Amino acid sequence: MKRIFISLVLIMYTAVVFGEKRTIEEVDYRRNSIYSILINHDEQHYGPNIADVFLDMPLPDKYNDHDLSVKIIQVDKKTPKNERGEGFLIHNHVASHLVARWFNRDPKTGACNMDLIKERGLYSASEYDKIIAQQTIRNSALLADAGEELIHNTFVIVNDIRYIDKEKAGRITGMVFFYLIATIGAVTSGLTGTDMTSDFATIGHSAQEIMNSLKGFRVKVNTHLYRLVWDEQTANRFYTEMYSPVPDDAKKNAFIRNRDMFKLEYVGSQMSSGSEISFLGVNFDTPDEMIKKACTRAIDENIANLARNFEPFKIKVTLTNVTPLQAPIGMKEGITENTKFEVLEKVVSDYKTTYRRVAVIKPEKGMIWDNRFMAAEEGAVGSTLEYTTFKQVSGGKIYPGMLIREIGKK
Amino acid sequence: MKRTSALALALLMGVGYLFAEVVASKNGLCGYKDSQGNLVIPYKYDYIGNFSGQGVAVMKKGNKFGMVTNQGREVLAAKYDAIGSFHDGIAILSLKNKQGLVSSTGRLLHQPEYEFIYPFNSKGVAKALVKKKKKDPIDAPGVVFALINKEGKEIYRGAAEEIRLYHEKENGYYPMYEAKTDTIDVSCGYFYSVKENACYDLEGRQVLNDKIRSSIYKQAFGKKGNEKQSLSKLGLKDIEYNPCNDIQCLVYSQKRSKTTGVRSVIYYDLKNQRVIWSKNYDITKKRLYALAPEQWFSVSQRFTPRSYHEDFAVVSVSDTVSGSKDIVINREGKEVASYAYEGCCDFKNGYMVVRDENYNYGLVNRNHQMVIPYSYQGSVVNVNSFGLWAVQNGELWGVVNTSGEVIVPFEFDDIRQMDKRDVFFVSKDYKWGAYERNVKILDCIFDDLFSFIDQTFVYQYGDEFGLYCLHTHSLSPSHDAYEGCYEADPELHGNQMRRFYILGEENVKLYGYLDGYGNKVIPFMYTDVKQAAAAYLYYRNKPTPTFTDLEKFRDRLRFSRRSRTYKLNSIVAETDWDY
Repeated sequence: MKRIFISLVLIMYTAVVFGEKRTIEEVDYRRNSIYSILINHDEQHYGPNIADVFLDMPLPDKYNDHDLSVKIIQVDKKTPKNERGEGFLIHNHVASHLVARWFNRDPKTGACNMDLIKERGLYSASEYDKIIAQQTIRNSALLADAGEELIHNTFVIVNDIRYIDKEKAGRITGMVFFYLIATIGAVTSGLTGTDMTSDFATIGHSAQEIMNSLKGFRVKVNTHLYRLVWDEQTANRFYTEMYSPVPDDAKKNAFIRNRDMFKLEYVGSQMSSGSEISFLGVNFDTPDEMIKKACTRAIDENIANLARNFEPFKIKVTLTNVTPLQAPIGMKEGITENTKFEVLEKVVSDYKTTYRRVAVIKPEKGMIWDNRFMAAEEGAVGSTLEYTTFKQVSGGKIYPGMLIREIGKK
Repeated sequence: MKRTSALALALLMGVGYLFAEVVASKNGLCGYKDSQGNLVIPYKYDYIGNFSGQGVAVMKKGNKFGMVTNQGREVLAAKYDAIGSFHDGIAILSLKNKQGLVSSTGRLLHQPEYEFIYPFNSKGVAKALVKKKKKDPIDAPGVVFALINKEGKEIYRGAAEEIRLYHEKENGYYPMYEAKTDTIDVSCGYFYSVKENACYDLEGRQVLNDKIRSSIYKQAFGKKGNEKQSLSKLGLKDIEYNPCNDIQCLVYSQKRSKTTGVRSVIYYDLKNQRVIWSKNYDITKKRLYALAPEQWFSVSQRFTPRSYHEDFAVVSVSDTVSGSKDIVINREGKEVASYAYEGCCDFKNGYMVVRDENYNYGLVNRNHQMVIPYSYQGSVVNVNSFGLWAVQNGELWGVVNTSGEVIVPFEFDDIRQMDKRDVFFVSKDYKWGAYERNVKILDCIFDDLFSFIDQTFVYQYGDEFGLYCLHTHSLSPSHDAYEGCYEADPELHGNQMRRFYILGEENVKLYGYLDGYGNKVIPFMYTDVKQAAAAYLYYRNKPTPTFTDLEKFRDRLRFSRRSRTYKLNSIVAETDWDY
């Protein structure tokens, strides 16, 4: 009897200890979907390089890839500076193509399916069968859920990348390049999760400007955000008149004739100069690498700021560990020591998904993951962490698998 | 009243009949309701296609396809990986990467045993790939093909190089593996097997073999002997023949004689099994003439038989008395113009191009009257169907009509005639342009121009290939450029397309198909020609089940297209979108 009791205690202890310290695999969650386009300037230096680099850029990993085949829009000198590419999006019915992608629509036959909805909506097989069955039924809660959570969270980001000519950027002073590298390296090593701009300010902008002007490469990226409109009226009309699981000429033609029924709404814009980019870790023999780093960092920064400033674009990330609180999110998503996150509990009722705040957390100082592009090559502090550690600020019990989402502005 | 009621009832039934339909249950499975609303096929299929006139439709159970009648009887079990759509009552089905044939009534015409079945031609015959080593290209010798008809019957099976098909333009036959088209040309109604040394009809019957040739010879020259006696026993061997149409031209020689002796020429009507014309020639001296353009006969110590065109056949003969001459015979075997011309082409579009001993060319009509005297120093093979004739005057080429009027001026170094249109491609200083009748439509700036279909032709400009549409007189709509293209595929069930390719990453060729209007019917994403051809069949047949993976296709379309740039104010072509 005694032996059985001790064994049981040991088992329970083991379960408690190792259960709480168990690291949970990142739980899959519904993400926003994005389609990224470049506005490239015909006449600018490095125009072709920027285009090549853009096509090669990794998609932000917190988003679903909803790219289409059209990626680059070419503009010339006469194009106004505030051009957002909206005309292009409207005249080419980009919204309809985004919808077609959601339903895997075959342009030849008009046949559609719900496979992508199922995959990104993380529906179970039985739930998926219900979607199929209900597709012609109005007011279907399941379809409404798929619409609101998935289709309506489809975004187009139009990135206007402009190269800044070094002769116009600032003065050239001719200081020794390697000395500057060492100086900036020393400075960055002391930075842990603090705003890079302010710290560069302590040694003066001249060093950065000198490096920039010596290498001559800066980019200004203006990112414009659009959201796919998917309301009840659009959804009903689509499912009734245009959706068909089998080839159907009538429904195929209905979709083509009514492409302008689908719309994108402008959400906002974000500007980044790209001036804070360090070229540590960059092989200067290959200018594309430098361009890629500059552009990627700038676009990532813009996306992070857009997510911070516009509610619909915010991302949600799973807490992979609760003791301590950890999540695979970092400086690429714009995290600083002052960022706050709400911890969300997913509630599903009658196929409708909602999120309830249960707690608030913020990053621990010195424990912010630097996951920006080429941070590891740069030797940036925090680049090896693989996650950011948080501390709880308020709220109740936090459980593994809960999602976190940034709140408020910086 | 009764009549009204009956009429109303009939109307209702008619209307009701129109609404017999495939229905889906709540769990997503399909069934079928008749016009009375009765569920005759229960909800057990994942998919039911359209019912044919015979009341049979393709159905899907799980991942397998079969066929079911509108009464619910499964006429073809659901065990096939795919069933294509029906044309002329037959479709291709596949099982474990092997293809077979099925009729629209659900009858399995041929078990899936072929690697690939090509499209059927207008005679209802298709070639099917039986066997091929992985490393071999599809047209390599040693690859085994079969010829099958629409009944699913295999007419012949053999190596690609042993099957010969007739090529009208070349006025001769060629190995099937040289065919650059998907459909085979058996418009003459026959094909030849080198291995069997026999000519076959499209039922697979031997219509000409050694013994039959022997009996034809005896029939023609009144020889007696055993019917089954071979040519060899007669001391003869056959030199050449044209298995081109129902009138065969056979040439025999003495077995041991190479340069001297008797040549026997026989024109034989295969359908009616009768000799039309025959003659023996005694050659005692070699006469060898230079080989002119291929369309002309080559003359040596042998005869070169030719087929009938527009009711006339031309026989080229040479002997010590008359030298080399052509004689023209009609379908009754009567010589209508013997030794009249130094040389001539076959009749085409009512005219025959002829040549004198000084190599000047003229034109004769069906009545063998000279309409254009021997005036020109060069000529294309025939007058085209618009009565235009491309000829060379001195060093330069131009076009005249059958009255001798100049249509395209004599300014060009070379000229080509476009099929089925009165369009000529003209060349100056190695650059090509085009005329449509007497109107210049393109300047001579292109590196090459060649025919596509009657609406379009292909241009090459540097390394770029594109399309020129004749009916709009403009370059292809999106002015797309391609890195290469192949000869036109023949008409396939009304569709005409040509295979192009672009260069993807690491210069890998990505194949696709364009139609005559420049539409990208098959996207440029296939690295393998066979896959592109399979995708072509998929789209041509307006698919239900499919041979291709749509997702992979889209990813690759996106990949191949994403580096293209578009002007801010431009409208992107529909075919450039992957969704």
